[in-house]
Amino acid sequence: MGETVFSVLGPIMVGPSSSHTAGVARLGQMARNILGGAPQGVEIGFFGSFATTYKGHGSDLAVIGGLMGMDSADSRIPLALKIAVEKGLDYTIRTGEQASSHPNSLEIIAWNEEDRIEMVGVSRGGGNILVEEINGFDVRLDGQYPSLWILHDDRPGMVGKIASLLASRQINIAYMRLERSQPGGLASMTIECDDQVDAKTIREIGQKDSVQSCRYIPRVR
Amino acid sequence: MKPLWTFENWLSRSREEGLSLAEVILKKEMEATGAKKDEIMDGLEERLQVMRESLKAGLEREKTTPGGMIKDESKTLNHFFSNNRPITGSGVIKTAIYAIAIGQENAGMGRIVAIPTGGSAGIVPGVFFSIAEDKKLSDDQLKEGLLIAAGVGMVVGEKMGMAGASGGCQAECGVAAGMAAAGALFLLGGRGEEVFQAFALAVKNMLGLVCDPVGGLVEVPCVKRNGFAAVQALLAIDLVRGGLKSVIPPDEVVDAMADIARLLPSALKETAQGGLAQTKTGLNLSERLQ
Ligand code: SF4
Repeated sequence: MGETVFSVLGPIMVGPSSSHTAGVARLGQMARNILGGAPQGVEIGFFGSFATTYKGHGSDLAVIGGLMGMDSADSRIPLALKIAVEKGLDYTIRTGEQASSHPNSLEIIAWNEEDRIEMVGVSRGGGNILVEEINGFDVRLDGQYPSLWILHDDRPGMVGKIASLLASRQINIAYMRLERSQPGGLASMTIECDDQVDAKTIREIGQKDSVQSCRYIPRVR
Repeated sequence: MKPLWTFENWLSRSREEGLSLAEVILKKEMEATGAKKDEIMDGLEERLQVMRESLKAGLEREKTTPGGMIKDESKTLNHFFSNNRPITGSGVIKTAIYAIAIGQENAGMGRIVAIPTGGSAGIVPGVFFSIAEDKKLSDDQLKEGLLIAAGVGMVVGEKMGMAGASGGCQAECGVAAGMAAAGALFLLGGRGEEVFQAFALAVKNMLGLVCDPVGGLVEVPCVKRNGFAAVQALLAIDLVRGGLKSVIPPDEVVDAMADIARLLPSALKETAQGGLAQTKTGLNLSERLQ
């Protein structure tokens, strides 16, 4: 609904399937962006229809390609597993029970020396994706906006503080979502922005009182 | 509420503003997305180039696809028809081979433009490039044809999703045939109402087409179906040129397709639970994949 010229004539992508290949490459890129750099090891879980058809759709190549920073139109995707071996990226792939209510879902655990993340995402068709979970927190990120993922103590005034800092930098908020482990515990805030967020702003948010971490998740293609 | 984007609105906007059908889409896109004309033209140029590369690569392809059911179809056909005359006609077989080549490229993880989807990616470029060679059409003309094809997809998208999973294959290869027919007729000088008639005739004959791919992969019947759908588009163009008209108006054909999309059982919507996917051979092939 509400199609545009380039939603009909596109995306430009590596085949065969916008949901099982292009969308999966995007989910791989999201996991890389959440980790904040190249992973050294990854574990992929394919669920639902992915579990039975991931090989024939090249979803394994697409997710590993995305994790190595390839976008969904990158013609190196068919060679992604070979490239991963050359680069020494350690990967395992398993299939299993549902991680999400959606028929096309996957789980990515990715790590490097600095960090380790767990992400659950779904491919919604036409290359559209949704990241539903990061490290156990419910989120909703579709990869179309430059986003921030902020972990902070659950205290009054956090939203206002962060929103006004972004406003002072002329960064408009498109969507925002809050989630907490328990009242007064650790809370997660995701902010999808209309504009890119500069490194200084990200650092300043990260240094605010009661903020544990602030990560920038660039949009994916 | 914004009125639905229909063939009728498209036509009346073209008449009222004195713009060609392609210019209406260009203007509409500029209004809707805030993009400049140059940016849209560059986007069309990029797509045209990717389509051309995928055609070239597909015609050369010999490597078996990940699902193992598709290999070197267009090469085989080209080889045969370089020494044999087709029963159908040289333009027809060329169009089919082009569409199949890009279908193979998609199945084999080549780079393609999903138009409107990956599974149906060969139909519009197959028809356009084959006609462009015969009629010596320029890239600027082809871009106008792409604007028409996009406008058609925008009309359909108002009423239904263009994906096998939501509407069956009529929503992928059927829509692509309609886009190709309308776009190519415009390229051939068709104007006004007759452009949409080509859409209507092509799509009417693909209504109800189910999506039953073997093993749930975009290989069988998808790749060869690109060839058939492209040829449907050619026939629709000639029937309209020859003076025929769809008794059911183009906008109502879209209504019918959306209605059928709702009525189709989910077993025939990309789930591999019916049709070809559930044949003895289909089941054997899909078992071998796992
Ligand atoms: S049969 Fe299904 S998967 Fe194949 S092209 Fe048609 S809609 Fe796409």
